Amino acid sequence: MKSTSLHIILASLAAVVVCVALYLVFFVAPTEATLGIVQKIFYFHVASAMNMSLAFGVCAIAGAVYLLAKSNKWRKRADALGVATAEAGVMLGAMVMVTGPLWAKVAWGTYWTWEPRLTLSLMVFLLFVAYLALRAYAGSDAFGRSIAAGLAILGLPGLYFIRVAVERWGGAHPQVIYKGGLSHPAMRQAFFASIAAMLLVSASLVVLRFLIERRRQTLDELFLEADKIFG
Amino acid sequence: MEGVSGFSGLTMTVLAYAAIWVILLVFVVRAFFMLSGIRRELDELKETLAEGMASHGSDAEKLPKS
Repeated sequence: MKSTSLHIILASLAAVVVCVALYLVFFVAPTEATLGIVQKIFYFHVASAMNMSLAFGVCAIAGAVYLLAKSNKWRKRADALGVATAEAGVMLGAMVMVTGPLWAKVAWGTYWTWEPRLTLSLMVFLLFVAYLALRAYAGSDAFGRSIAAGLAILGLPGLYFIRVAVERWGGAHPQVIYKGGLSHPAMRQAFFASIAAMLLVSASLVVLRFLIERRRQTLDELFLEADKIFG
Repeated sequence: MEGVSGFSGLTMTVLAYAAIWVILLVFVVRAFFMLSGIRRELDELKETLAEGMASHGSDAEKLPKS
């Protein structure tokens, strides 16, 4: 299957599942008794956060492959995957960083509090923003790309600490999933549909961005070849 | 729920979902701008190659059309 066909299939599937998830969130899942309608932010907020961690995790693995691979072909593929997943992760992180404070303003009375999970999430988000800034600054310079790959690997422990932050250091962040929340079946349906929707959206955007980056690499190679031939 | 902030839960929910769509839209529009940039650069490359081949006496018409 061609990569562009894969992207079209993923994007179409993502559009359908997003519509289904929004329907389940707003028309099927009951409104939570304590928080009211603002609890509906939770579905896409958590789904974005989970997919952000997944995207940053893949970016870190791509960084490791970039640094360890001997073959130039694999280094280029890993580099393109790293950029694609970092951009998708930063996009999902931006969603998390915007929707979380909007929920918190109603639930806690403040947009932000420096509790462990929020602080760590912000740090990891900024780390990958730095990765993208470094990648953009480095251009085709291999040393700059290697430093960026190293930076992505540094994000891995951060992802683990975000996961365990509430158990280890406490804080005000709710633990709906691990504390066995979402007792209503319609809420669970809406939640899993939201995760699937954001997973498909992220996968589709990663494939799109990966294809663009691969084309960019091919174009850069062609320019170099043309420069060599016609000087 | 009105919440302790004075903002209604409905306002915050609408803002949150609007923000998600805006962020998604920005990403997609940026990706398509990048794609059109690559196409433009590819056309420039083809022009450079055509000029180069013409000055070296090659057949520039053999280059693929975009």
